[in-house]
Amino acid sequence: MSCEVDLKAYVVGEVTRNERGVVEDHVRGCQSCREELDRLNLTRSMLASLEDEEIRAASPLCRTAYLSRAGGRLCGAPGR
Amino acid sequence: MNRFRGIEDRCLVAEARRGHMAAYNVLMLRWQKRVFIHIVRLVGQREDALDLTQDVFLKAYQNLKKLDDPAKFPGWLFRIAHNEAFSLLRKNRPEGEMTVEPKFAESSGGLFPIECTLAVRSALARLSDDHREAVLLKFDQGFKFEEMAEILSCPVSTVISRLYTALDLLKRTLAPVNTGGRNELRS
Repeated sequence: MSCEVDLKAYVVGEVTRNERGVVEDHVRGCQSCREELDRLNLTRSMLASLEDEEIRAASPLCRTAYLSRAGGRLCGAPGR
Repeated sequence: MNRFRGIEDRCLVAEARRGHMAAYNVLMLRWQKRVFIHIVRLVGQREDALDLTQDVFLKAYQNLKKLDDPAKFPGWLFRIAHNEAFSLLRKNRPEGEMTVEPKFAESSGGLFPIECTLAVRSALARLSDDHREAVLLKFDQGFKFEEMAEILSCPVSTVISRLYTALDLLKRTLAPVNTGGRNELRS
């Protein structure tokens, strides 16, 4: 891709307001970048859809496990 | 413990440094899920992740006075989590062993939620540990590039390179190029 805009920075939210505007203006007139941005946004959406069943399954165990197991070792003020 | 709820992390760190266990318990309860999910997605084993999560909070407590800026507690905590997770990964995977080269999965179009979840998990699992962690720190945890660089002890340019490479690999798997109404399948 020969265009200079950083679509990945835009998708991961690491752009300034000005840079955001530049990207949005550019993709309105550039089909290949628009398609690339669609694919990046789809990838981001799929990552966000990852369910947190690991958390739900482990949460009670997680809490009781290390709060009780570590409890005896976490006494007094932290060491230096 | 109730009196500490709603208090900012940096204040809880200050209280915990003075020996208030209740303050540290609130920090643990506040951060345990995020640390656990980060580790389990890195190491892939629930029981290992539980043990490592416990170790992370124990080491964080023991070293709390070494934290220069209490406002940076989250990044510092994830730095410890990174060290613990990669210590285990190195132990389980001898140096030089190659990670599996990602194959290109089938189209993600029209997938049901469970299939979508499985596709994402599979795609993440095929990334190298460094690439996967960059994705998790950005998309799961929402850290900025500078924070990620501190957590990973590497330049921001390395963080960006890892994340962008990982995004390209994930995109090719999860959002293949659409060619004439059907997604391109590659093997």
